[in-house]
Amino acid sequence: MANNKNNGQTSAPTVKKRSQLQEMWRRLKKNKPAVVGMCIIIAIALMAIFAPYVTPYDYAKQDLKATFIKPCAEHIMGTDNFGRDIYTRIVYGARISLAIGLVSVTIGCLVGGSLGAIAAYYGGKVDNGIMRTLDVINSIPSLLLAISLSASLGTGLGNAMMAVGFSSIPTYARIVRASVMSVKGEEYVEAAISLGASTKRVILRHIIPNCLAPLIVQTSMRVAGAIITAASLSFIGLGVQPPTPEWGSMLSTGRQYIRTHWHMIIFPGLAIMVTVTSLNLFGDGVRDALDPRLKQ
Amino acid sequence: MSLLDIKNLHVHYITDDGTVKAVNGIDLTLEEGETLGLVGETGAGKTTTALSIMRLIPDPPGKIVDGQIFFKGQDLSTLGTIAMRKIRGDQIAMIFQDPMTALNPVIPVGDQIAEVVKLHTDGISMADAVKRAADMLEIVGIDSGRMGEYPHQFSGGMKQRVVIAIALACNPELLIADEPTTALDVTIQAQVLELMNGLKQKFNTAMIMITHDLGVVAEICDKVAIMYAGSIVESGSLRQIFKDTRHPYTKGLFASIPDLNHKIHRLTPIDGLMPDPANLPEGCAFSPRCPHATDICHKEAPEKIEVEPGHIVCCHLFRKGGEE
Repeated sequence: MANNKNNGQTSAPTVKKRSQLQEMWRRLKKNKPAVVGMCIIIAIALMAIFAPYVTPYDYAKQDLKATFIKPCAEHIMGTDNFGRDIYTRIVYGARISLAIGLVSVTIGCLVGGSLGAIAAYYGGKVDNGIMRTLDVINSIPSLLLAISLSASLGTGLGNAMMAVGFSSIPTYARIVRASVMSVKGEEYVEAAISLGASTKRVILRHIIPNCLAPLIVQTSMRVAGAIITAASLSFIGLGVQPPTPEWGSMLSTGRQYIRTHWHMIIFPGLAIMVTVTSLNLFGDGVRDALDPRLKQ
Repeated sequence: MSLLDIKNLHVHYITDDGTVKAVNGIDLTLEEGETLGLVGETGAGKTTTALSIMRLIPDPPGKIVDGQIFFKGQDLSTLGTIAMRKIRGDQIAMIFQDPMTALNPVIPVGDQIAEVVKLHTDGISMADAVKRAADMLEIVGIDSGRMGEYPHQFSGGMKQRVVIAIALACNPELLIADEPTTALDVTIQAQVLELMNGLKQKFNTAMIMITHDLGVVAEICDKVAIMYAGSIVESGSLRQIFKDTRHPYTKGLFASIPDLNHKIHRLTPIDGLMPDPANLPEGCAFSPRCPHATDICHKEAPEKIEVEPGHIVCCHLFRKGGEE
């Protein structure tokens, strides 16, 4: 018994951390749609990372003798108006889309989340100041805001990320603020303060972890949303510039040939749809798995 | 020097709709190792008193408008935030009313105990803090093998034990228990009280027990203070209050408890309700409900009168030192 106890004490922290992750993984595994979504995202991410190895052609190489080829054995998704292989371009496009999704969401999440947490924790004038400013930003439709930011900062990958990230700040701030406000009133927060924890510690260790569930769901949805927004920016020519393959700009090009060459628009569209759907399924699954109150 | 000495404490909640006078000039002293029962109805200002000792009154709207709180000779009411933070959890700890919500649901209980140890012990390693947490769990009667479990895996009584373990982890000199047994059922209440009593003696911790249950007071307290509408109407030793009840309000409280020795058909509650603390009556706050109220009661606030050593009553009936 004594031996047992000792073991429990010394190895407790590591054992516990691992079992917590295992616990989450166990519950996530039960959620079939989430697992499917996760597999698809991993597959897409792997393809994006190893793009040169999984694609037979150069994404920018034009072959004007082989334009508008329908899907066949050589070009499984066909070729576009410059004779570029659409499959290759979609794989490379995943790099851009995933990067934009992740970076812009990180920007929005960090900036918006901190603003929301500060606003909710301190309340009063601080809250009013932050939230009214964000309301002003929020009153501009997010795509319009991204468009105007892109237009003023100039086109390009970095600016597209900034623009998409910036326009998601108010949403994050609102979500984090709402959950921080509800958690702030909980007794365990008061208890933490009564134990002498500093404000920073109370926010970071006691409040934020209890606000994670909506934040995680929002983040996975937002990655999806950011991919769509970035695609929209490229679609209207303000995002990533050709010849860099981007799903939105591929759609935009394909639009001109929609009557005669369906494959040019179907495949980029499918790529967006599959990615976004998988992200949403995965986000929902993670939310369910992370909530310890749903533990059996 | 007393461990805790509260002098003329006034706490007001200042809102747009008016000022709520939650605590109006209370005096309290507590020696080392002593247990004080703070008894009163809901809204009498018990929790506000406790929170002002911890300096946890939500400000705004709450404010300590007057008075001092001396803890080991140091005035807590003027202490800075950082100095106060060092005292909280280390020298003064608090047990909250509802164990269901007083623990953070996403942190394993062992970590929650270790956290307070780590906060208040300079340079302690995580391993030592965890070891201390395991010891504390064993002390409150929970197998230390459960320290990696989350609060939702514990029952209510077990959670309150964890809360007690957190409160006592740093060996505080003063423990404030805000209705620690109200949310528990009666058998668990008895267990928790017994545990607290044992630990209090073991660690020689002074305690302020906030409750509206006179049975709990009789079981565990040395001294009693009865609060009504933000003032202490009667205070004294356990025996003085229970056997030699003076204030009409305290008498009313005892009259509204069923007595095992007498067969009665109806309890005799105190008529009326506690006054709105935003709009206290003139004179004695209890006068509108007091069966013995005279003209002076409606006009002048009563003085504190020591009817026998240590037994203080705040009532006009005892003004000349005579019996009623």
